[in-house]
Amino acid sequence: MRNDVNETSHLIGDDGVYENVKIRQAKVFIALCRIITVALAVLGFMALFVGTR
Amino acid sequence: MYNIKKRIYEVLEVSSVGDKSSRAYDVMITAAVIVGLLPMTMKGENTYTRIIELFTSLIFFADYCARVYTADYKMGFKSVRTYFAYIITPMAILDILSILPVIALFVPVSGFIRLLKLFRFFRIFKLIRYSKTMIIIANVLRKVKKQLFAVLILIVIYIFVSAMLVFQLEPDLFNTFFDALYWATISITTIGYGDISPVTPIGRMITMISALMGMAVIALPTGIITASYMNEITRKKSKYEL
Repeated sequence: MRNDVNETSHLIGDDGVYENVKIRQAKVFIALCRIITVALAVLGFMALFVGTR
Repeated sequence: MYNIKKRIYEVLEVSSVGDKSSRAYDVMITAAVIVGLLPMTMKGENTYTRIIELFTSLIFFADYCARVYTADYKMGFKSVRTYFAYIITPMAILDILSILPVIALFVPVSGFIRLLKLFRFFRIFKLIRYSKTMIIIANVLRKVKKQLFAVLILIVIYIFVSAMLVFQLEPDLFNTFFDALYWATISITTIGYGDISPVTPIGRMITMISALMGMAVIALPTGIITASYMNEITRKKSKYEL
């Protein structure tokens, strides 16, 4: 185990692999940003479609 | 120790190479700005534009709160005054103005509310933060603001003098002094709609001089900005080479 691994900064995943909490949070944040971006694009497209019909 | 506040600041600022979180955030805000401006391209409103307005305003509000929270990193000093100092910066004012149009969703439409809706336009300035070239241009404009202000004063004086001269020489042509100001501005900028044109020889002479001098005066800001922009680019290049 690496020196920087401690109980608070790591989780154990379902497959038994250590996962860094910060990396996990970053992944969730990136996924959230991408979902919002796609949602905005869909809303924009729908607004244009309905607004110019 | 992991500093969450510093990390929020890094995510809010323009992304550095390899910072995926910051990059994803920049893309999301850029999408919110572009989609948030869409209602301005339509005549009426529909359900989707109202959802867009609410959704983008929530995003911008969260962004604003996060920026105020991390103001001490942005401003470079830690104090309660930092937050107040940040709130009155031009970009923070533009941020809050771009959120205000959401009020139009909850109150009856009136003249003031129509004006408030126009504030959506301020959202375009948010994009400045996410483009390195735009940041350079903003820095250039900040550096030459005194020269530009001097040129602006010169242009205003020139327009007023031309308008006053032609207003006195062509009293039948202009109903009000505002018409003369309008004519002078249209002539100096070489737009020349032609809806108001002098008929007397002396009036035409003033127009000719005004148009010729106007070209030189209007070209001044272009030269100032271009020279400063080139200096900035050269400075950045030499800094990079060193």
